[in-house]
Amino acid sequence: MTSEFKIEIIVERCKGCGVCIAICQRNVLEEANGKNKNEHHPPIVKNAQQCTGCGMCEMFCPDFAIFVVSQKKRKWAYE
Amino acid sequence: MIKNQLKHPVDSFLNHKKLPSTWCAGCGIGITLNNLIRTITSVEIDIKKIWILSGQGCSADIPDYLKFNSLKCSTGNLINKGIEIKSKDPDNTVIIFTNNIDFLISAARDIVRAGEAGIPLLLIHINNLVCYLTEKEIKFMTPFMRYSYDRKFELPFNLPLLVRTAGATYIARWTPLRAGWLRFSLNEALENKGFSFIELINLCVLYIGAQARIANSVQIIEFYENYSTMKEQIHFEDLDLRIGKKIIIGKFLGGV
Repeated sequence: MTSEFKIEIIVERCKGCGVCIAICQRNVLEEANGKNKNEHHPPIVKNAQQCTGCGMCEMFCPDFAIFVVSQKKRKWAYE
Repeated sequence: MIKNQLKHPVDSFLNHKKLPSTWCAGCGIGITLNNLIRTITSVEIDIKKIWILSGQGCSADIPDYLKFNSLKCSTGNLINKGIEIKSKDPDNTVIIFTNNIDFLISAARDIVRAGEAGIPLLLIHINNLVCYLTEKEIKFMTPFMRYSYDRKFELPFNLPLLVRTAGATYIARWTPLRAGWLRFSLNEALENKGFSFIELINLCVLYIGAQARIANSVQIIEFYENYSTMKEQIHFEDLDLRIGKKIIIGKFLGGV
């Protein structure tokens, strides 16, 4: 069973501040082991089924690197 | 390496070739920018008539990443230019980002002028509790009972009281942790018909984070949660920043 919401991460923009991992109430995100081209650790999706689509990670990202898409309606989740 | 073809929902308002930005990781300026763009898309205003002004320091880089009309001014000229743009065409909406240094130099004269005339500007003040000018000037934003590096005794300005006496009709103060409230507040301030002022308490990741051993952008966000409160009834005299007292945040004047 797949979740309704999908988290998309633009890896090249991430600076690895870790705010999205700390702010998520459901522990969906996790810090990756690998690095991007600017040598920061971007987040990866750990358990996607827990995501409720609240959009907090999208709202708190300072670098416009993460957003949540609803797969059924094909709309942005925060609207 | 596979190139990422993803598109962020606010990418149409961004100069996305210039990203990632020059700010530190986890800085609150990015969070305010993120929420400012989303309020602009939700409020019914003409996007071609938005002007964004900035002065010096970190907040000067804000217009680089946006596709709106923008202007970078010298410090003393910032609010003066905003009044000029607004008086040329009353349909323009002017959003001004100020730093502590911009506020020290230009605010005292020009905010009184804009507030008393009731010119509808939106001033977003990014207060990082640090103001280093040359060594013999007063460093006026360090909290009470704390000392700067040369150990002078200091009294900080009470900015909401100062702006209220100048005649502003919308005053609020938030931290980047309350991003939802900030978005609500920006929405009200853009519809306000007088001079509106939003203060954002945004600890500097470099100076305050590293030297006071907070040192991590996640721990700074925990600091916002532990050391700020919202109150219903406030007096404007109590709103200054002191050690041993929690920072009072909220909407203080105006709105619905």
